[in-house]
Amino acid sequence: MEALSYVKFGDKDGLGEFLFENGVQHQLFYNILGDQGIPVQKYPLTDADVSNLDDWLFVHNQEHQRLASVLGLDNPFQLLDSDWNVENDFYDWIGVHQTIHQQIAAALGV
Amino acid sequence: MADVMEVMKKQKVAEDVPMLDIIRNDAERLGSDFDVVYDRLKKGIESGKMRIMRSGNTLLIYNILQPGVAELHISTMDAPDKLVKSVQDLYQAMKVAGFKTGIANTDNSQIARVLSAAKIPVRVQQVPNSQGQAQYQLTIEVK
Repeated sequence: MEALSYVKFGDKDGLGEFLFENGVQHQLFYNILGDQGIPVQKYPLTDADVSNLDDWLFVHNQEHQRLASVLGLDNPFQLLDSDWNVENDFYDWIGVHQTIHQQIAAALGV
Repeated sequence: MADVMEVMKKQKVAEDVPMLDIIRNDAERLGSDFDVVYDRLKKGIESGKMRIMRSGNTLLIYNILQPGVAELHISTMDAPDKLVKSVQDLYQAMKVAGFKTGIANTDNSQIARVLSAAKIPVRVQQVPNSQGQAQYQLTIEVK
């Protein structure tokens, strides 16, 4: 699976692209697990109000908690405990999240 | 922090094109409104009716018609030599996902040649599009 697009802090267009690619990858995870008979609660993730991402961060974290649980991966607590208005927090989140997606992809064999 | 981003940048292939740029390029080539295409894709993906797979700079967009059968659209910014490998990867992905038949309509005769070069079984028919112009209907059997 390809890496998610690089997104710079404060780049709203880049963030929109990131949200879309991330949503596509979550849909892929959901489909693969669904094909294996493993249900994962699905939330709308391909789009969000970039001026208020708290709801998106919360539901996205919910999906990752469930994915981590069913695949036996580390619990991604950093995905919620983060302030995207702080540059370092944002880049931390992006880095951790990319690693988590790579772990999920490896666990699913994609 | 910079280290994390450096690693991420190195992980990405130099010529990797963002997914939306591939879609935007394709929409422009076909004379479609990108915003309309993008909105349709987002809704399709959220509903589970559409899926996108990616290999290299090639996207395979599936619109699921019925179990095992999908309408396909290939968007690519890969050079022809890389496209063959990308198409082979995506064909394997279709197999893993349980698809038996893929149907694609395209005005690009090169796509059929690429599928043949990738040794993917494909039937080609010439059919008129909604404007009465000739296009190709490709039927891919996933074995």
